[in-house]
Amino acid sequence: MSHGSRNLFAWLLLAALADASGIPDVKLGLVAPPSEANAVSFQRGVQLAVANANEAGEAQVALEVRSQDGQWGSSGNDAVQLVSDLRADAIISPSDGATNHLILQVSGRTQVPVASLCSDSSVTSTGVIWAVRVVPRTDQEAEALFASASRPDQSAPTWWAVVPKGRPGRAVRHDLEVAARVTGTHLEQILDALEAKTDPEAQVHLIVAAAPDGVLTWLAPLQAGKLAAALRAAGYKGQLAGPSPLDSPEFFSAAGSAADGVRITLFRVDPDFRSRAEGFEGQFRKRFDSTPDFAATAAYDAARVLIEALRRGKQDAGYRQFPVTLPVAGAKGDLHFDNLGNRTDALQVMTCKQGCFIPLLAGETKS
Amino acid sequence: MKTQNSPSKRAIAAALSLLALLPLTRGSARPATAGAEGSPISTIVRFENFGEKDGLPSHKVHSVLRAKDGRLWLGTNNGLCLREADGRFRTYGTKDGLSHPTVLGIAEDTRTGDLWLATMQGLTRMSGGKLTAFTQTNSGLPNNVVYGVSVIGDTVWAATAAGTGALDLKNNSWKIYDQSNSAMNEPWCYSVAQGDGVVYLGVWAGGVVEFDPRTGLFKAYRDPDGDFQIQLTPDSGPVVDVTSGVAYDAGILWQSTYFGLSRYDTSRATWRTWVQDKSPLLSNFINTVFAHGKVAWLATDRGASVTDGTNWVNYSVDENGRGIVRTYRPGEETQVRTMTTALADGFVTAIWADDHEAWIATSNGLSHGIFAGPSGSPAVASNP
Repeated sequence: MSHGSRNLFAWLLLAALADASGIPDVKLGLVAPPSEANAVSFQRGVQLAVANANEAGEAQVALEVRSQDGQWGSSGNDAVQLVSDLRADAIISPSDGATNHLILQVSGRTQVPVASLCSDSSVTSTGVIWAVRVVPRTDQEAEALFASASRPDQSAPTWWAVVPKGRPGRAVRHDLEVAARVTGTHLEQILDALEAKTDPEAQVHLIVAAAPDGVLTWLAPLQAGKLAAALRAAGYKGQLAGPSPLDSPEFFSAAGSAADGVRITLFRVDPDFRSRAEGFEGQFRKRFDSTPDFAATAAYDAARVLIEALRRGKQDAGYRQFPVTLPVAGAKGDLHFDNLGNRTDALQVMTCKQGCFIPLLAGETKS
Repeated sequence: MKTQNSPSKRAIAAALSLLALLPLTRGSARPATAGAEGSPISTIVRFENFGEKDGLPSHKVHSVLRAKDGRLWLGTNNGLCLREADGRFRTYGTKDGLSHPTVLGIAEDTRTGDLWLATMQGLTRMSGGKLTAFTQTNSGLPNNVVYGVSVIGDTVWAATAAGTGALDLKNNSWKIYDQSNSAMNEPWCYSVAQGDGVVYLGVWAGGVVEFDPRTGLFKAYRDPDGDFQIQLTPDSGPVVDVTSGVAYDAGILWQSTYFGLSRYDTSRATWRTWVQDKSPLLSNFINTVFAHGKVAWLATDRGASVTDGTNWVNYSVDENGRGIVRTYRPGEETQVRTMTTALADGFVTAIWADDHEAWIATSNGLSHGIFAGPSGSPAVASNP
């Protein structure tokens, strides 16, 4: 019997034993604390991917979720618990940058693969080979949004941005500045979002008075929606834009009619994959009685990447399957990654019309 | 393979090792011997490998230390492990008082013989055979995830996921250093090393932070160009800010990263950096670095790389499982040779070495690197 045949036989035997014993082939860990704006969507997206994999007989997949808020650094403990005590083969990390770095530190020492839902560019600049990011980078999104805007006199539009306070805002600020530098955009002001107790109205009036051509509301969906509504109510007429997660019910609800015309970016859906996308949306609606938002779709994709990579490398350690060089079938198309784990799939600028984001048509690029 | 080979087996292995030193591809036919050709880098001629079948509690080894008394300690995925005098492995786990089975770092208080263990859920002290756990809840440890530990004078330094903790052994008091009271850009500490009168902290996304306990002052060494992919300003600071390890000896500070290697000559205050595309560095992905004299031993994802900054010796495993050694010296053709033995695995996690031997921790076993003797013959293993 050849070496390869022996390996195959051993693998089939192990798979049969694992199946008989109920031991999963792949165990995924998800860190989604309630403070994460998209925690529910993340859980639903991953749950659907796990259910689909199990129903399709691709692999026996189990899911462990850590969803507790804690003191600074506790996400590292969550990651340790997932990897060490619960024996997770891979971790899906949420959108918060600090949480991602804590998880990546654990991953770096334990070689447990990570699929990240964080758009901070710093996540894939750590160099952890077995980490991928399924959402677009903030600087990529901002570049596309900046490029989509123009003025009638062809001069460069001026932009302001509102970002979260503290470390999350520092990471966003860095990435927006990079995007502005790359595109030659005049990003005039980046403001820290004010909390309700510190008079956000004053900030709104400041923006309205300055009347920039565009405002990036780079906040969580609920806060971004409230800001968009406040800006429109105060008479702001310029372009509003934000990150991909604004494709969410929380944003539409908080923004109301102010959501119309807001731009975001999403990964382009190839017409060839339209039926796959519709199938995913149908499955999601059937299971959760709601439409999958950006966060749920991204979480589904994160689980798909990890399941596929670990399944492909079952005879070997999971980390050796990275970087991911082969396309992975995602919710709405195939996912492709570069050597750093960034998505290489094309982004498309979307605009909100009547409560949903649709592709921005050529000729609609004036701000 | 175990070390308890008979003398005749050792002689055969030695002869095979010498045969293996014949060139595989190009370069001169002379054997690569320790320092005999002007290089300060000792050359490994043979590996002895150990795995679970030999008594290791896990195939995944994270840390290795030969203590002052000669005993070899291993931090594994499943406990702390001591290699006994008879070559057998003895494991200490959570039932013995270890705070967590995964031991990422080991440091010795050479004055007392106490061991300090960095684990994924706390710091553990081994004193007189007794294990005592220090956690967030029972001590001043800043975070339970401890990546590195070092004993410097009367202070135990613990690099954790939320700052560095400093335990003063004289009065049993803790101090915490993080982004709020030091030069750290981020609190995510990954490694700690003793310098000459100073402490070096390897900070994830914060470069290297130097702390002088006499003055209480911090100094941060950061990547001057801030770019992790392209070295816009090589040899002017750390190669990147995400530090995977720091090590210091003989006036040289080494920083390992996942994007290359940096060296800081403290007497000249000069930096040098290496990336794999522009140097013999085996891989940019360096898990940890160990310093011995002016030589750095690099634990990479493609094998072990050894350098003094000028000369390089790289040990890797080819696709057929054979050990390959590549030697680089300035002005000379690269020598590539096969070995009769290979590293236990190409994914190296940590190394301990001195003038006589190297112990190499990998993700799939432990390797004992036996150096060439003065005459070019393999040195006899000096295990207890």
